[in-house]
Amino acid sequence: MSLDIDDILAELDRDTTAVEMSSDGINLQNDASVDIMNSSLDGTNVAPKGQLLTSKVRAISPVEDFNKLKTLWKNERCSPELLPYPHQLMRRMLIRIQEQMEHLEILSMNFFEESAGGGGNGRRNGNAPANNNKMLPLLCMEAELERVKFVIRSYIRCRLSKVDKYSIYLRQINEQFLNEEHEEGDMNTETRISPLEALLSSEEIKYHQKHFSLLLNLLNESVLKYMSDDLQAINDTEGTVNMIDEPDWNKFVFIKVNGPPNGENEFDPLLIHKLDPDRYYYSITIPETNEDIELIIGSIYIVRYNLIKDLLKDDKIELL
Amino acid sequence: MSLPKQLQDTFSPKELQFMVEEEPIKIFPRFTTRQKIRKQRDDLLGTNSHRWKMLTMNDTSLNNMVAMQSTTVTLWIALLLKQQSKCNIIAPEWLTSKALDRALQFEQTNTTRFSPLPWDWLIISEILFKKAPDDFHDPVHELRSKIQDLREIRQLKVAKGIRYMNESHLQLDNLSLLEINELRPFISGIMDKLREIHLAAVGTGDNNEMGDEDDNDEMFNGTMRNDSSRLL
Amino acid sequence: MYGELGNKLIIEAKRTEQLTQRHIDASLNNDMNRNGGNNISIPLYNDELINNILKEVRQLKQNADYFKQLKQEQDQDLLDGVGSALANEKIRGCQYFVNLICLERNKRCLMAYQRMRSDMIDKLIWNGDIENNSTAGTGAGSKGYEYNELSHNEQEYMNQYKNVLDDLNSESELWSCVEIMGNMNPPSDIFIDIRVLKDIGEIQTEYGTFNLVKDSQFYVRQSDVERLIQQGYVQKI
Repeated sequence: MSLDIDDILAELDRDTTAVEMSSDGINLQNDASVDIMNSSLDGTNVAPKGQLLTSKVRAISPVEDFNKLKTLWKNERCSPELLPYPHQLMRRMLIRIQEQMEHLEILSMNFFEESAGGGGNGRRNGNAPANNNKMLPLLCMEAELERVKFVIRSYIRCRLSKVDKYSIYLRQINEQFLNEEHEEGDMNTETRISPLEALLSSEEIKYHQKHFSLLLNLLNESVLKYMSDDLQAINDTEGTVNMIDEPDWNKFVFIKVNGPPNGENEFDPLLIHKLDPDRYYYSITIPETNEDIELIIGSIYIVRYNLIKDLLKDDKIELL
Repeated sequence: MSLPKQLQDTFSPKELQFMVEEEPIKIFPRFTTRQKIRKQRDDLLGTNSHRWKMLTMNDTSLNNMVAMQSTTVTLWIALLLKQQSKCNIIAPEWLTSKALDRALQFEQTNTTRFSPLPWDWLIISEILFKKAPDDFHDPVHELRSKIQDLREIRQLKVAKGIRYMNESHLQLDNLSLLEINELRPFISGIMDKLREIHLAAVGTGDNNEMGDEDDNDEMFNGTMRNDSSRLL
Repeated sequence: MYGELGNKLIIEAKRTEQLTQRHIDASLNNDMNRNGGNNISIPLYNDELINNILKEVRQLKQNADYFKQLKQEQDQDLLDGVGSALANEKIRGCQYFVNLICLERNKRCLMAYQRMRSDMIDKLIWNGDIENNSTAGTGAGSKGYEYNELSHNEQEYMNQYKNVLDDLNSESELWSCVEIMGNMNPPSDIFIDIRVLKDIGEIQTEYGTFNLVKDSQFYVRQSDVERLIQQGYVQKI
């Protein structure tokens, strides 16, 4: 078994430098089709494990994935709205973490067998790691694992707090979608993904539903049931103040302009190229004043979220 | 809430440090990890625990370290090795007395621009002063005071730039991670308020077409803003 | 005055929020806390005030019904062509409306108060301040959270929310793998040097067995000795 993992990981190493990162989670269609592929593979998780790993991972290097994850983490923290969940990326991360944990377990077992067999006092004197070069990779890999876990944890918890904050709003957009769906009939129900499914992971969807119903129950029991019939809704919009928290689309955010993820400025139709000084920029317009703003690649700006959210979802800018 | 309030819309100092620890840095390792080819093949049998197999970085350089030959690793690895006295960290080029003097000069001569220091200059210098003070050629207290000077002069510029804040946008090239994080609550808060005020003003302006008001508005929006957007 | 009690409730909620924030700010400097805000305490559920507001709500509801009925009668008068009907109708309409607004306001105050408290309960759970709902509260001096401050409904909510999270946690490979309820501070110093202050004996860790004898030094995983540090058996160097 240990042989397996080493081989796979060795192969991964070789792939690391050679392959381009493909866009992840941007194209829904794409994401969905891979979803299907993965889920069928996930079912057969015993025999072709190695195969599964390599076939899935080869396309995108672990380093690229982790960098992407860090960017997503930061973007999520800074954006007023909930950004789409990177289903594929997270699946790959999970597999890598699990493999690495297994690998580390084997390594540390070997290590202690070695040191116990050697001097005999390695086991008793746990101080060995500190001054042992052999132990260093293990320490670093262990530390790295904690770092990866932290980013994912922090990222998901940030998302959950937004799920809570925009609980009713999220329900609303989903209901809207379902109504539209209903009106359109059964024409293409199977191909369309609901906004919530696109936006959230399956865990997040469950969390959203369950937490919402608990909250609703609490409010019903402690407040709403004492109200007259016409005041029992929790999503009044007609009263004095709107009760639904919606993301502040016009919130000012700090952005850095990166340009297209593949770096091919010439092929980005949105990019404008100007000489003297030589620069590539995206042009955005503030609707009320008709003012145009040049977002030059490499520069930092403070702008309204609404104006840049499409650029953000296309990975052309990042939030700071 | 699943996310503590103090972490919403912003990053904690520890998180900023975490981000900076992901950046590459040069070190002189004090030990060798490079191995002969034949040995490497043995490693694949899985009995060897000395190989680095990393998830978040290219581990080739880690597996090919030669004592006292400079190599580039991720900062947190460098710090871990340093803690174990397994390497010396090579201070980045901009973090020398000479380079900092140049940066200071730039800040003084260009009153409306920031010198192009790396995005993590404040944090990384803080980390290195603390964890690897013996790896600098220049005296650390000297470097530290220059960093402090730089920080102050830039803060002053930010303070001056604040009066150009508006409801439209702002360009802030070369502002670093820490500086942005410190400014964030203040600037975005004020600009959000300005936007609301402006919206209210525009709203009434639309209803009664008063020439006077519009003119003033125009002046404010047009000239002031275009100047200001490049000032910081 | 109608609405005054509701206002009182909101002021109380606001004060609670400020206090909590101050508490968090203060504890931010303290390295030991887990998520930046340990031991947040929820104030006592203000039963009395709530009940008074609910009484007011009942009163308002009666008033509203009364004015509604009056209005209907007057609509009839209006049809019958009674002289003063028009002026009266406006007055009645106004009275009805004022009652309605007060009702709505009370509803919003009550909901805001409840939501503020449920948010605090959420926070407690995420912080890990509530460890186990069967033992917490009874363990004297321990971190266990005293439930007395919560209303019956809130206790129910807390237990259920905890269950939801526990369920999701055990269902989701990803969540359990990254320890979703874990520390929100970035990992730093995963391995540390420690000095042993009191004889402890052997401890078992992933990295083997350590014999912690007084004055000896070890290089260990911080998470393995976190408790020992807190209890003062070992010291970080």
